[in-house]
Amino acid sequence: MNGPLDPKQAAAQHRQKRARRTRTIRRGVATLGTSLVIAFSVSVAQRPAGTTETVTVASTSTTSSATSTGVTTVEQPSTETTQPSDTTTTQPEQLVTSQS
Amino acid sequence: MKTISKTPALETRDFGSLGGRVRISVADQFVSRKLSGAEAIVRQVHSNLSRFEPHSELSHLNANPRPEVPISPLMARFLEDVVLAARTSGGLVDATCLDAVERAGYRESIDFAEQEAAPAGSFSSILPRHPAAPDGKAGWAQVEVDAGQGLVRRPSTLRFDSGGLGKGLAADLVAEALAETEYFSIDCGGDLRFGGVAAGPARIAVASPDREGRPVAELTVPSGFAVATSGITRRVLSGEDGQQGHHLIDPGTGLPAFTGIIQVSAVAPTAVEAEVRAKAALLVGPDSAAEWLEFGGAFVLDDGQAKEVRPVETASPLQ
Repeated sequence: MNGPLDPKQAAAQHRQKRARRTRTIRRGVATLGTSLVIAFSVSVAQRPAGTTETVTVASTSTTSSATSTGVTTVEQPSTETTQPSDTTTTQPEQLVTSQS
Repeated sequence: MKTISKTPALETRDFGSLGGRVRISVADQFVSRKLSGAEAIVRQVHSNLSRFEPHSELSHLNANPRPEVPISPLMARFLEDVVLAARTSGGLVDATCLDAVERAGYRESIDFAEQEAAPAGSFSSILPRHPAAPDGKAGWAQVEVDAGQGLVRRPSTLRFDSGGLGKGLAADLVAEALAETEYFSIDCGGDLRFGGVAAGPARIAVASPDREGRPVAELTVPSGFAVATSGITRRVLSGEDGQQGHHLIDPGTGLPAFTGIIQVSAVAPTAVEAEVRAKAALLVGPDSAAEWLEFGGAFVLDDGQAKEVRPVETASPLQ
């Protein structure tokens, strides 16, 4: 029959058990994190270059006549997704300006 | 530039203030506290600068018969912006046209969100188009702000309208408070400013002058910058003479401006400057509008045609 543990031994056993549990949890979190990173990388790699994930607005075609002045006429909007050309940053939210 | 992939999740707060909806988003540590602080700033601006609140500092100032009036630091900054807006726009963006705004029918707070937008072209049938002009009396030039002493000296008959400049100021104050966060954005009824230490340039859609229409353009805006949109189709008023109008006044005539442009969006380093540029571009009309959009922007003519203006390298802030 096991006798009562010395309080110091009991505390040490408790610490060991807790450390084992923490290591297990950390391994699990690391595995999950790695999986997410891989999944995200794959999804980004499969996305056509130069596109962003969330921005969906009317496309804008320009006329050639006014381009030299920096003013371009925006033709009838369509439902196509834009292909941003000058930035690869993924912005965290869609922003829209409207009459205030 | 850092990416923001490791920042905390974006949190957003949406509330009514400044005569419309305000939306603030932040990604950072202690985000709830920062959102609360930002909301408090906006509510303070509304409390001090709303002309529709009878006990606001602005209402008291407008009613004060003395030529010299003590003012708060917030009011001092607003009045400095009023003078800057008028001076840099040659008197076109004139926040002392409150009498004319009220004659146009904007005497009380109106919920324009439920109102149907005026169709493009509807205004040009009422009055001929012409560029706006400054008010020859230039009351704004007689405003002297002493921020150090907390005083303003102005003709006691001069009354101020906070309008878009107040919204721009609110956005700028929030931006100053949140500048060190990973990412932030503030939308004051359609006027935007965004930034943060991890933010890159953003693509911002320009909403159609019609409420239901698709965006008419998309602007690339540097981090820390602002975009403001002014227009005449979403705040349709009925004037004292029964004439249909809107709130953007031609200071030269004291009547709603009809220049051939119904909406302008302007990019600028601050939201106040974006407001000034957008209003000035609308007021000068189609031939000169692009000159006010040095940092980029877009405008819509009254036949519905949209034009995008690219930024120029030599663009510099108004001062």
